[in-house]
Amino acid sequence: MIRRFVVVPPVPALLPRYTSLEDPVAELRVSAVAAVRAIVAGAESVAVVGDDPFVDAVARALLDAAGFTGRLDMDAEVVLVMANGSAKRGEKAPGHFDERALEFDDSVDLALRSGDGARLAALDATLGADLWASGIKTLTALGETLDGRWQVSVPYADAPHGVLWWVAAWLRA
Amino acid sequence: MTLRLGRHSFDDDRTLMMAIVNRTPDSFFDRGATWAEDSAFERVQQVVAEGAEIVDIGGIKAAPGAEIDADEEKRRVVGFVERVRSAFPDVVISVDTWRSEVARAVCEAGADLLNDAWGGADPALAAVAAEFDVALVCTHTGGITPRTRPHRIEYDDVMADAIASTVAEAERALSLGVARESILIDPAHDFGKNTFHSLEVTRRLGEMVDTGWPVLVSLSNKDFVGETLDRPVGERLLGTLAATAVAATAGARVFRVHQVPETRQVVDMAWTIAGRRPPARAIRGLA
Repeated sequence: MIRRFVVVPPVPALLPRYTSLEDPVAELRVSAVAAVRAIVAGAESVAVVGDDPFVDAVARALLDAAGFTGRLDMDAEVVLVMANGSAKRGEKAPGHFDERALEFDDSVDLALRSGDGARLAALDATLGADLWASGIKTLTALGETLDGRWQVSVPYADAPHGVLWWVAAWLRA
Repeated sequence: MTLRLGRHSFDDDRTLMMAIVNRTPDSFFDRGATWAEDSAFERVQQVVAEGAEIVDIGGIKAAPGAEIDADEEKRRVVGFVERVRSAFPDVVISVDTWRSEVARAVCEAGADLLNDAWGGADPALAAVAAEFDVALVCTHTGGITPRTRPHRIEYDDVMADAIASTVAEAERALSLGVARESILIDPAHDFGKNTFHSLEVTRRLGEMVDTGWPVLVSLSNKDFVGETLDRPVGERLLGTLAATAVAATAGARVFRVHQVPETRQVVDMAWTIAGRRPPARAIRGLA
C-alpha cells in the first residue's frame, strides 16, 4: 500500500549531463530535491512511475541528489511520480500555444492540491497527451488506487519555461 | 593543474584574457593611444570592466625602433604597475619585458607575472621570477635578438623547435625555483617566424598543449593574420578570432589580446564545443 508519494517533473535540465554555468531550473531543483529527500527519508525502497522517456534518468538524478541509497522496487510504499502539466502554454513554450492548455493545467493543479485520489483519477489523460503534458495517465491510474484522506503540500508550482511543473507531496493522513 | 600567477590562482578549466596595455608611443596596433599614463590607466579600467583577468603592461614595442634603455623602460612601467596594483588588487599584473633589471623593479612594485616575450634573452630574468615567487611566460623566438625581425629563418620542424626551447626554459626556470604551477609556455607567433611558421604552430598547437605546461598564445592582429588575409592592421580582428578559435580548441589557456570581449566570446564558444566549459544557460529542448 502506498504511504506517501511526491510528484516531480521529468525535466531533462535536471540531469547532470545537461548542467549549465547558471542553472536555468535552480528553483525547481532545490524544491524537487528537498521534496524527494523528505519523502524517501527512512525508506529502504522507492517506486518510480511515469510515462516520459526521461522518467528513469531524472528520477535517478533526483534520488542521487537527495542522498537516497536504497533500492528501486515497483511495490514500494514510497513513490516518485514523474509528471508535469502542458508544454503548450504560450508562444515561446516548447509546443507553442494551445488555448486549452491553461484550463487543463488548472484542472491538474486543483486535483494535485485536493488530497483526493478520485480527483486524480478523473484527469483527462488524452487531452494531457495532446497538450504535451507528461505522466497524466500515470496520475489517473495512481488516483484509482488511492483511498482515504491525504495531507498535501505543494512547495513548487510554476512554468518558467513554458511547461507547468509541480512539486507536490501527498502523505496518508 | 591550478595556475598560480603571483597572488592569484585559477582552476585548470579556466581560460584567461590577458589584455595588452602599452606604455609606448609607437606600438603597432594602438600607435601610442595609451602612451600617456592616464590613457593607459583608462585602458586598464576598460579591459578590467570587460572581464580581462590579466593586464600585460609593456614599455617597449616589439618591432625595431629607437633604443629604450632600462632606465627609460622602468620610468614607463614601474610607477604604472604600482598605480594599477593599488587601484585593481584583483587583477593579475603582467609585465612584458626581457630585462631582469626591469623585472626586479616591477616585482617590487607588485607585478604577478613576467612575460618574457623574447625567449630568455636575459637568463637572469627567470631567477627574478623565482625570487619574488611570480609567474613566468617562456617563449620561443628561434634565438633572435630582442626587437629584431625574422629574416630568412628556417627550421627543420618549427613546432618541435618551439616545444624544445620553451620546455627547456620552463625546466630551467623550475630548477631556479619558479613554482611549477606558475610557468607558462608560448610559441610566440611571428617572433622568429615567418607567416608559414606561425600558421604551422597554430595548426599544431595541440602538440604544445600535450607537454602539460599551460600554453599562452599571442595572436592579436599580428602580421601572420594580415599576410594570410591580405589585411592591414586595423582589419585583422576576424582573422585573429579565427586563429583564436583554433588555439582555444587545441587547449590554449591564456590569450594575449587587444580586443577582450570579442576574444572572450570566441574562447568560451570553442571551449564549450570542446566540452571543457558548460553552456552559460541551456534550456532549449530541456524543459
